[in-house]
Amino acid sequence: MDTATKKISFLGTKQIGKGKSISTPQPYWNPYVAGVGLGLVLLAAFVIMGRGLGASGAFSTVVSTGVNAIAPSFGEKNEFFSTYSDQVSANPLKDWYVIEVIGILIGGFISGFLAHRFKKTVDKGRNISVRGRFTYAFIGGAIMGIGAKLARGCTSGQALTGGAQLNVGSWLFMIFIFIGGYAAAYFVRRQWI
Amino acid sequence: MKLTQNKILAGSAIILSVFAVIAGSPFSSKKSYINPEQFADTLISKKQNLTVVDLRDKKDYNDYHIPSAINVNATRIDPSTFDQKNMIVLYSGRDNISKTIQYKFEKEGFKKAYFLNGGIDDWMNKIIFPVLLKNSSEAEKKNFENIERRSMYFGGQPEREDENSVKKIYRREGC
Amino acid sequence: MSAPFFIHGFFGDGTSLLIAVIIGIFFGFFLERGGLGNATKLVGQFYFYDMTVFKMMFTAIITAMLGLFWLSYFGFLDLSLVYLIPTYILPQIVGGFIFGIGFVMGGLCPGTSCVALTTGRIDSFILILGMIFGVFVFGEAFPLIRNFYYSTPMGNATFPRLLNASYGTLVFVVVIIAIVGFVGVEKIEKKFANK
Repeated sequence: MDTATKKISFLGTKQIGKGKSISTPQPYWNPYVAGVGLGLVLLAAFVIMGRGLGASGAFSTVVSTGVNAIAPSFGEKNEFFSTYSDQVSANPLKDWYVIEVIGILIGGFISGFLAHRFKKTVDKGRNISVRGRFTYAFIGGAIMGIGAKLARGCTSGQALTGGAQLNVGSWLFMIFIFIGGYAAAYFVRRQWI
Repeated sequence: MKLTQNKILAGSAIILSVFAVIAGSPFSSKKSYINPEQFADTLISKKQNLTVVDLRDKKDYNDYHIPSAINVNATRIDPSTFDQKNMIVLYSGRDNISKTIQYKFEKEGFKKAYFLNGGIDDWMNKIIFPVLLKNSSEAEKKNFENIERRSMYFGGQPEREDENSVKKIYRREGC
Repeated sequence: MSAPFFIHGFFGDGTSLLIAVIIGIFFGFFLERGGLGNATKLVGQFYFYDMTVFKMMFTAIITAMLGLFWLSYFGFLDLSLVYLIPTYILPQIVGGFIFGIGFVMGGLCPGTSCVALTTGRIDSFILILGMIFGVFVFGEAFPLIRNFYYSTPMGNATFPRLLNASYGTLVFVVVIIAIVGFVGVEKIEKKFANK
């Protein structure tokens, strides 16, 4: 069964007749307006907390906490994982970024719900299977995890935050994300177009 | 409608940034901190009317404190007991606590209160135990002699890096 | 200068976590509003059929950048107390390039993957598993790459400091680059739509 085309509307409305459903997904906002919204959230973080946004840091904390919980002697010997065990005293909920990511999960849901855009589905192009998409997603995720740790941040933490601060490293990081993305786009085009 | 909305946004951004060119720098000249190097030189020059305050616990203070520092715990410090005419340098382990206390002083009208940027941590890494990295520039290598002299003034131990001497820790930077 | 509030001790660690979730909620909200919770929309950036990523990112950057400049100029925010991620030229360039490759493969970034997850996208779940794996591999390999990880440090490097140029002028330059970029990508999108 091709699960990619299975759509379960969250509100349980059924397709009536030919493609007419009670709650259709609303169109997205003007990206510039949404961008201003993002910028104001980022600014609020600077003003209130004295630091910007972030996402990859939360993943580091979760991974390290997991390693230290499951195999503490293993984690102790590794200088990366052992740092995190000190800093958050084995409680990931004490980490600001972890809590922020919980907020992101909630906020994304609220927006998607209100706009009738919640849909249990797999986003992918026409010419690839779900399994292919999952393979690419996992590998792509792993590569991003490594790239983000190398650069001390991801698009939210480095590109957006550092970008607004005119941070040299952040701008370089951001420029090379685009370079890397465009360079690889041709080779993975089967997944999307 | 969308086009006009975007044009308003773009126009506002351009106007704000043109004014930014005119404004020049967003930083005010009033600095609230002093860097460890600058502070070390200030101490060496035996500047008069300088008060140094260690905001940490008594135990940390007794283990090590910056020469001439007095120990007043951050929870008990009262700006009114200090002389506004003096230069006051406040420090803690890093600078999270000292930043807050410095702001307290600033609100009370102290114009010469500063926190030590990086606290005892940076003081140790930059003044007491400075390390000359292998891949430093020539200018840095020449300047290191001054850094070594300053370190030894405070009874420190400067170090020139080789394969074995650098401490191996992962510092969490970034998000 | 009252801001940043947390640095000046206006509230403690507990409240900062409450603020974290509130900020996160708005962050996720706007990401989804712009459509970045959808991988096929995101990668449109790299295939020229949807340039929303560029539009949203750069709008956010110039909004926050202008905000930082003016709040600091009028003495409300002490910009020198805001945390700046230190620059390490080589790891950040290589990290960016690698991240870009992973980005177009995965279709989502760490932040947007969370938004996609809570709007029902199953691929984002797999991607998050991949990211967790990637971070784990990094941690494992850290002793081997630590020299590279700490190479080419520049400390707190901002463009005004590096180029010894006026901050305000650079703000203007960035805004102009962004707007020229916006005009350009609008044209690109139109061209693609006509094909």
